[in-house]
Amino acid sequence: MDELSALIVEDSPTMRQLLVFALSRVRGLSVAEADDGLDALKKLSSMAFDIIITDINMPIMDGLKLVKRVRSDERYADIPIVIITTEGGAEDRKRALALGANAYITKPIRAPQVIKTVKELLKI
Amino acid sequence: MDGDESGTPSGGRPANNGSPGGTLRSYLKRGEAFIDEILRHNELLRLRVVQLESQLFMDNTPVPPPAAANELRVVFEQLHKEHDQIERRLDEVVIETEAHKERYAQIEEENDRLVNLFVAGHQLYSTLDLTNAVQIIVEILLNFVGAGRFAILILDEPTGELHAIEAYGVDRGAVPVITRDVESVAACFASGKPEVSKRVPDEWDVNQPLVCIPLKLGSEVLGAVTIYSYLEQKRELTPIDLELFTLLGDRGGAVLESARLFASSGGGPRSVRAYRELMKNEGGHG
Repeated sequence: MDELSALIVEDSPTMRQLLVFALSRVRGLSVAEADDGLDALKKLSSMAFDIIITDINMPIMDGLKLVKRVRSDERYADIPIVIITTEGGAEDRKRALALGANAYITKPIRAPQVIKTVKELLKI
Repeated sequence: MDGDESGTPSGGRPANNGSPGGTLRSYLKRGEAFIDEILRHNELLRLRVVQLESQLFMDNTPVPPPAAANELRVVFEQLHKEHDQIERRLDEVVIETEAHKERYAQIEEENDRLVNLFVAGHQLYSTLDLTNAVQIIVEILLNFVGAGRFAILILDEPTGELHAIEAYGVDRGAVPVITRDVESVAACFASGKPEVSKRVPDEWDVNQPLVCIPLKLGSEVLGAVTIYSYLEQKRELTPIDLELFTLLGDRGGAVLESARLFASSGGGPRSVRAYRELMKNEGGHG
């Protein structure tokens, strides 16, 4: 199987490390990191990713803007996007999914849940 | 006319013509006719048997001899036994699979717990910058525990009061200054362990924290983390949360104090001489 790659977009180093640890356990998946939405777009333009996992509340460019930008660019339109956020309201979830996110996970996260969601979206 | 020489109609009751010889002849003729009838039926039956056997042969239908039937019965019984064994093994495999699934879930939970504790511990010790250290404690409480409103309080030794140095979800100025003997924090200061309230409030109250975590340096309590509410989606505390509280309590005070001392010392060059001097002063081996 060709190696798949995930891009974690999160401004908190603590959360990033937790997500990297979690996703590194998925066989055949390599993980890259970005500090915010803008950093993610830069990385997307230079590397190919199979899935994006992003926080919402971030400086410079938040997660929802990132989803919008990714979905409006046909080069990335098919990349699954997982939102991981503290915002647990139904409206927040609805808005994120309406913008084109494929899954919505609320913090505090549990690694098995993130792994399951990523595997389902990557069909592995 | 349908009859015999004596005029007796065939198949009917013999007519008594009054002569004993005639009656006997009549009975003998009827006996002969009956035997002919039986022979004719017998011939027809034999013909039918031949026809049926030919039909079976043409249809290629195997007609097992008795010995083959016995063999088949033995094979059938053997297959039946094997079927029962396989069914029993299948039941065992189902039970084993359930046990494996349960074990796998336990291992996943244990991995999750270890990853959370490792990352929290690793991040806590990743900085000597006070602002970063405080931010890491905030991130652990928010992202790992799911605390929605909380404050980090430090004990002001000259006055014996606890003051908030950081707050999340609540204005820092709204967090009351308290002494360590007030009910809400007294127990955690006395025990040196996180205290979790069992009450489930309708509304959060900055004077009634749900959790109080002592921030320790060794056995000395330097401050506390007070949690007033959880994130909307956080239903209840888990065993991992309680372990994170203990980790924060045991390490958080040391991390904040190290960062404070580092900042107040101005850092300075990391010379070997400075290390040796400090170790000498602290009664080290150097």
